Amino acid sequence: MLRLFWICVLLLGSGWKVNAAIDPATLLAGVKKKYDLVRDYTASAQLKTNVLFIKAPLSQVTVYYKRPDQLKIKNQKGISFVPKGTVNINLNNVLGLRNFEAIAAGTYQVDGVTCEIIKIFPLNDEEDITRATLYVDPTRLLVLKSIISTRESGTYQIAMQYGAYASWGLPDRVLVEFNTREFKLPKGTTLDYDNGSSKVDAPKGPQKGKVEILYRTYTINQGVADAIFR
Amino acid sequence: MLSVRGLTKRFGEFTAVDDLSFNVEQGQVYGFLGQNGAGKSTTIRMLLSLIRPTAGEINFFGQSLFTHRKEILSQIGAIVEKPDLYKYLSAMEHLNLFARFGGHRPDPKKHVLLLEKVGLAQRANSRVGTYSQGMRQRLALACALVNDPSLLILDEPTNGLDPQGIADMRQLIRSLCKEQGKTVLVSSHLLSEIEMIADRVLIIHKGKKVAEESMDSLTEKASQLKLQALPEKRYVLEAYFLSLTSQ
Amino acid sequence: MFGAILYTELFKIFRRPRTYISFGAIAVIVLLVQFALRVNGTEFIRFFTDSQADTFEIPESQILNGYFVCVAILHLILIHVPLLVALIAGDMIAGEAQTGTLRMLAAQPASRTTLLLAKFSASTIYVILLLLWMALFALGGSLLLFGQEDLVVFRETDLHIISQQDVLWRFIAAFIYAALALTMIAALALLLSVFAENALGPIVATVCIVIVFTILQQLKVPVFEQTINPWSFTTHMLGWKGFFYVEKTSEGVTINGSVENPMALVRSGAILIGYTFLFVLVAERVYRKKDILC
Repeated sequence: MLRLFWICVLLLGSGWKVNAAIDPATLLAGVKKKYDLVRDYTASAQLKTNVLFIKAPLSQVTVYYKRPDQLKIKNQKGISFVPKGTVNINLNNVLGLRNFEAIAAGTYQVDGVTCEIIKIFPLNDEEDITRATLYVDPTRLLVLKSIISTRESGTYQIAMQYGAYASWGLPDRVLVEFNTREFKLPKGTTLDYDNGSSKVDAPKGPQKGKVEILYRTYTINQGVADAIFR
Repeated sequence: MLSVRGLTKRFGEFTAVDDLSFNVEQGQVYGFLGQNGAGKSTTIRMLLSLIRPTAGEINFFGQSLFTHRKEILSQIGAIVEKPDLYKYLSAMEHLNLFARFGGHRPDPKKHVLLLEKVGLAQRANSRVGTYSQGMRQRLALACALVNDPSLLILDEPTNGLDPQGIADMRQLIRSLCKEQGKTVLVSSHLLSEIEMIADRVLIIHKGKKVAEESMDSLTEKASQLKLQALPEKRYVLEAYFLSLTSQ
Repeated sequence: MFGAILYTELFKIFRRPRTYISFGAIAVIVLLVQFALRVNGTEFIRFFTDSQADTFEIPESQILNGYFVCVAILHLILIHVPLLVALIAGDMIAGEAQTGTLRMLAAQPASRTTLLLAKFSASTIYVILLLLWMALFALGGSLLLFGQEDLVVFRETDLHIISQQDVLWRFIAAFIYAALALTMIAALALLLSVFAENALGPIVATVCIVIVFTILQQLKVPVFEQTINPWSFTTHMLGWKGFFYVEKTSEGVTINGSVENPMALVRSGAILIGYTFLFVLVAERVYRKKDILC
């Protein structure tokens, strides 16, 4: 109840006008129905990491998904540091919530498409997700952008672009933005070679990191072994 | 063969060798005598270009040591003081090593003969670390001879040898001189040994030459010193040496 | 003549039992580090990744591969290898003076310059062989035991992931650079050896000099950072690590074949060569005119 009160205060205080024409629950149900077409998939993709303190090559990855909420990114070859919250590129984490409050919060242009903003507040305190904002293309019933706050892994902003697999609700490109902690080892631990590059002052404190996943192919509903996710 | 003129070496204020001049003729065994600290080793080191003279000239085979060092040293074999060899190498390996240093290819057959000559053939492949001091002395002589030099400079070559070894060394030096025409400049504190093998003797004292004589002339001079009390001829040199260096 | 003397110098080095202590020590240390990382490698990696464990999935088992283990070994032991180099190079002149063989060598026809350069070259060959031995155990052995994967390199402020196709040349370059750095140490030890008549002196002095400059470098205080450290050879000896610092695009993707600030590496290499040249030159000048009294 306290949470609902604060939601009302927040909405009234910010002067948002609730769009009476859009019923968020109906819209979300439509989106969920589309996403539910996919029981599992195996996707071949390219992963690009852009984090201030990580220098990584492009890596070829395989993304495994199994309903309701299992997702695993495995490198086909090589090493990549995958942000923990990337698991939220699977929107079933949000759409699969049972006890939540959804509020329509207006519209917003994402990649030239007018999207409905749906704010979701889980009502169960045990959920890892504490809040989510979805930018939904009401025509195609696709989520183009989401901002998901979690207890464990902080806040992730995920932007999605769709192409050949749009009818399954599967994106061609996902861009995950997340907060990073400062990377620092104790001085003298590594006895680095000073090539002058460390003298360029790096921004201090938490920074934004990005991970981009470019999907090439999906194999949908062909079954994925549970062992993959262990 | 060897001509030294005005050779001087100073270490700061101390003059170790003072205006020394002498000549060594080809085929001679030239004895080089002096008390401890007289300047013998310093002179020999200058002859081998181990020490730079303060003044003077050294000519071997008519050429200056300072301008023709390489050509001159390639014709000289030397033992300098106590020969400390490589304890982890064998006699054969030493000969190979010094042959290469002299710009020659190692010749195992020749090296075996050389080791036979100095009495080390039986231990040719043993490590020098297992040798006695006398054996090391013999090996040092073999190393000095390995490149077939025309001049041998031997600093105390009988050091550490037993009586048989001393006799063998004496015979070897004489034969090198008589049979192979080599010139030998030898320093020793065993005056009787020098007396037995040397054709000519140089005596220095406190860095200065006090005498340079043939053995015959020296014997004659010694007799003039009324040394008749000495029972054996072999003491002539010792008596003469003491008479010069005790003044 | 130079070739013959170099041959004899190498022959002496490799007939001496002491020489093999270095090779044995390196083999034992490398095997111990490999064993330790085999058993506790995950903990070792967590030490570096701990601050990011909440944000990222850390692929620890992949990070712990042959290339990573080799870099870890080089980090741990390359700083101590100067001692092994000093053991040989510091002994070159002073050791022979101590045992009395120097006067026999100096009385040979070869000039002192030739002799000194042959000794320096022999030390350099020893350094190269020591590094090849290290490469065999540290790189070859680690790849055999831990397999191949991308290389992750940790710096104080960032981490670099280098794809495995882009790694091998970096190791070759790093070993060549390390050879350059250790050759400079050999030159320093040889220089000190020229002044001494006891092998222990130059060996200890070389190690002390390396320790002092390494401490000054690690202190990271401005008074040394701005004066001594830019010219200290220990600063530039670490340049081998520079080959594992990779450049990235504006989008954060590493560029295969790239090195972060290559000019810094060129400068460091030039400084090391300069020091080597200087030390050998001074050693030659001193030794050429030195009276061999021992």
